[in-house]
Amino acid sequence: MRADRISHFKKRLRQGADNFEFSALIDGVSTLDEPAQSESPIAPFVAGMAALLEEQTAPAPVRAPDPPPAELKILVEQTDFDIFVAPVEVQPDPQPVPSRPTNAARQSDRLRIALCDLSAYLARHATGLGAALDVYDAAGAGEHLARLNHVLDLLHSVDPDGEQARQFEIEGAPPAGRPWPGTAWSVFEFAESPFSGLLPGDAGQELVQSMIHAAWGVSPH
Amino acid sequence: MKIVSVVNQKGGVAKTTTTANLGACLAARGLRTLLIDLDPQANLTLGLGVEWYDLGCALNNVLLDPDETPLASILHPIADIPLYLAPGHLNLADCEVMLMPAADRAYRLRNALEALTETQRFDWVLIDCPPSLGTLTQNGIVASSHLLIPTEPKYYAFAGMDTLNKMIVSLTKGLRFRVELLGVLLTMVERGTRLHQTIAQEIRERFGDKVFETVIYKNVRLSESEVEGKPIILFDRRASGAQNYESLADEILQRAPNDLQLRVSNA
Repeated sequence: MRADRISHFKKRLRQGADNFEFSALIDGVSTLDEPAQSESPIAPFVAGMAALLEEQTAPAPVRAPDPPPAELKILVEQTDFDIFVAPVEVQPDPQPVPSRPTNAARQSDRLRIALCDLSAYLARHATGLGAALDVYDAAGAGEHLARLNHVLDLLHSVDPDGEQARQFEIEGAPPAGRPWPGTAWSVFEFAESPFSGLLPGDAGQELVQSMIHAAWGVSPH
Repeated sequence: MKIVSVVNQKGGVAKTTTTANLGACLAARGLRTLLIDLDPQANLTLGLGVEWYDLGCALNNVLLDPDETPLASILHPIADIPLYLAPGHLNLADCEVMLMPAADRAYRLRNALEALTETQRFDWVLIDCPPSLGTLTQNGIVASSHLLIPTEPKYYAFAGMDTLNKMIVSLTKGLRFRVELLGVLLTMVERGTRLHQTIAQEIRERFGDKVFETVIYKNVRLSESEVEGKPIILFDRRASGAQNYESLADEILQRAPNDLQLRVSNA
């Protein structure tokens, strides 16, 4: 590399690296000296393109999502394509199944419970996404979208064609012959997603772009 | 006992190669070393000559059913050195989903290691984390006292470590653990490439003495040793890759706390 190119490259590299933060890595972290908290899963956060971490879900019966706004319900009913994350009444978690003698049976039961939780989580955040879009809250919509995407990644890893969820008769399972929706990390992907049906009628591309940026954890400005 | 997660959500930066070969170098010095394959790809397991698809039980069983499958029950000795492997398995991929309802899902590996050390002593535990920031990697980080971050000297390395930094900060909001950076290891470095040198220099300026002096250069014998199912020091001790990892082990042991150094010097 010529000297002038090297100098330019170094400058660009330094400018780019200045945008990043490494203090927790360099200094280390410790929460052992803090007052004991409940040993619960971590709080949620949105971290751009990295995998997102789940909101705490207790192993107790699944909480039904908040009732959707009336406008959302009408919008859902009017769409031509399936939105299998439409507001549905989530049934309480079924009674724990007694341990069965085989590993396969235990595995199957775990999968059923996990799919049930994930589907309820999906419904909850789809409702949140719709509510945020209704009031043009791009940041809020982005946060819900990011969590939806993470859950969809998990669903695709264990039940890509939705068949397991249908066999277990999970509420919110994809219709017959349809897989779980794909993730939507770009304007194009969101346009192809059933979640695009939650956009207000007069929503412009700017709202979608801002939402996508928020989901990635990057400010558009 | 030092428990080190070898972590970077970017794939192909030599996490598995580093875990296997650093572990072998430590074991060759007489230190009882346990390698844990936390990656559903199970490359560490394959690379050490253990065929995960023939295994009845592996790490996924330990995480999901620790009472039925304690960690001690799945350990495999490797070669004639005090090196042991807790093998991975493709079914680890299901753990991300299966563990979701569990309140203690991030603590499963730590709990399993605590139970193991009641009956077996190890000097070093190296955890090969998957190239992601999900539940499995969280288990690795929460179980660890240290992190070792292999990274190529590329611009994306900064973005990756920034994301890892964010993840660790978020973990502090709900979990009880302590972890510090053992070091950043530059890997896959091409000799004489000014681009690599420039980026490596920038990484050193950002991370200071946390970056190891040792650099792992690209070396085809490292890949060959994985095909043979052996660590590089047992496959070809004269290869430059072997010398790189021996040098890394020396550097890590110099950074080790005094009690460990005393034991090594008195051996």
